[in-house]
Amino acid sequence: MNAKIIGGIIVLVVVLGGGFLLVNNNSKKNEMPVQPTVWPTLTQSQATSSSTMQATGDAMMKKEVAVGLTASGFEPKTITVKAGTKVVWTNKSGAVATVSSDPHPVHTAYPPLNLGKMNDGASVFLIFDKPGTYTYHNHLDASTTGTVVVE
Amino acid sequence: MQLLLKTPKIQLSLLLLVIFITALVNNWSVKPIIPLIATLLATSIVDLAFLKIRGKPIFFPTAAIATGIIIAMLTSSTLPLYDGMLAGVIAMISKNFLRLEERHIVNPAAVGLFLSAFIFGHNVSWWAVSFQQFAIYDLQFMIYFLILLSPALVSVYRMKRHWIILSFLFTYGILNQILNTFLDPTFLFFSIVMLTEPMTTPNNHTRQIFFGIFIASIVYIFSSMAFSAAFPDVLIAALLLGNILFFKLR
Repeated sequence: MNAKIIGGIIVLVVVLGGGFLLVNNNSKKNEMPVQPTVWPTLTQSQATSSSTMQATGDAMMKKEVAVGLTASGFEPKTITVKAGTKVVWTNKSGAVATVSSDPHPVHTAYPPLNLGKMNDGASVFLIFDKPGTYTYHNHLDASTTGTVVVE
Repeated sequence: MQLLLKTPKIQLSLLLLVIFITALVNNWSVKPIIPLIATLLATSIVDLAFLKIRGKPIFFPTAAIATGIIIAMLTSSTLPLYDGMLAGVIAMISKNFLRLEERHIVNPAAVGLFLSAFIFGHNVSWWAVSFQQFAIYDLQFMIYFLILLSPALVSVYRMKRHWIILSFLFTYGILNQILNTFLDPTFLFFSIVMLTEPMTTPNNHTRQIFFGIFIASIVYIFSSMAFSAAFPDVLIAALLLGNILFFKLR
């Protein structure tokens, strides 16, 4: 009886996992590539700009865009930028924070976006080379979320 | 007192408290202490009350204390106090009443965290086991976290639950083509402390391996789906599903 149940569970996992991998791979082939060409980006350097920007407009024109993290969350919460833009996150929340790829807590949607811990006042950055929509959060307060749309 | 210190749950609780304190020091904040006390009171008092209701002998609530500390470690201190307390109450309801064959079916801390996060519409935080996230300049955090976890690993080995950890971490690492799951403090804490809860996991080594593979596969599938955002936490969702499906296979 137990062997049958184990067998059933294995078949279920293999079928679900295999089917999912197949569908996932096919959809990845059809969608835009999301791997950036640059990922040496983990840093604790000071941000070059502390000002926050409008979600669109200005951000689209610049090669570097600043996102601030305050007690009320990422500001701007959503930015739209051109491919090749460097996005710099600066922590002004008064507490340790992270920039981590969704979904919480596994951070697997876009691993280059796992920029690690930033102390209060510190910054991290990533250059987005490929179009796509990248969602992220602060792992230490996962309700704090943000989105980068790369066009 | 000496007898109490020899119980696995109290030893685990002391270890968890040390990790909790290191998290406080690292975050330079005493704010999580009040939620910890509130959650501990909720789990302990409710567990004792439920034991009384069930007509069981009253004993020192070692399991409730360990559960309370785990909940406090994974619940953000920015949330209202009642959030963690409700998680504790749900955990104790699950431990005392969601039972078959004299055993609880699902990991109490996991079900408490999952349902309270679902009710209040937030994620499970994992705040106390997140600051050690691996980066070269933070190597020292990872090293002392591993040192702190090592007694738990020994305890898991004594309870013969180590195959669950190994099969889970290997499978998840392979599925995601990443090997740093072995250096991710959230994954290490989840696999060593939560995944190996003796009452809700298989005893047999082969079944333990299947259990670990199953949980890793479900985490991978859930986290890759768009609907994963609807879950308070994919790790805990997978654990609860595994507990239910493998209940008869212990």
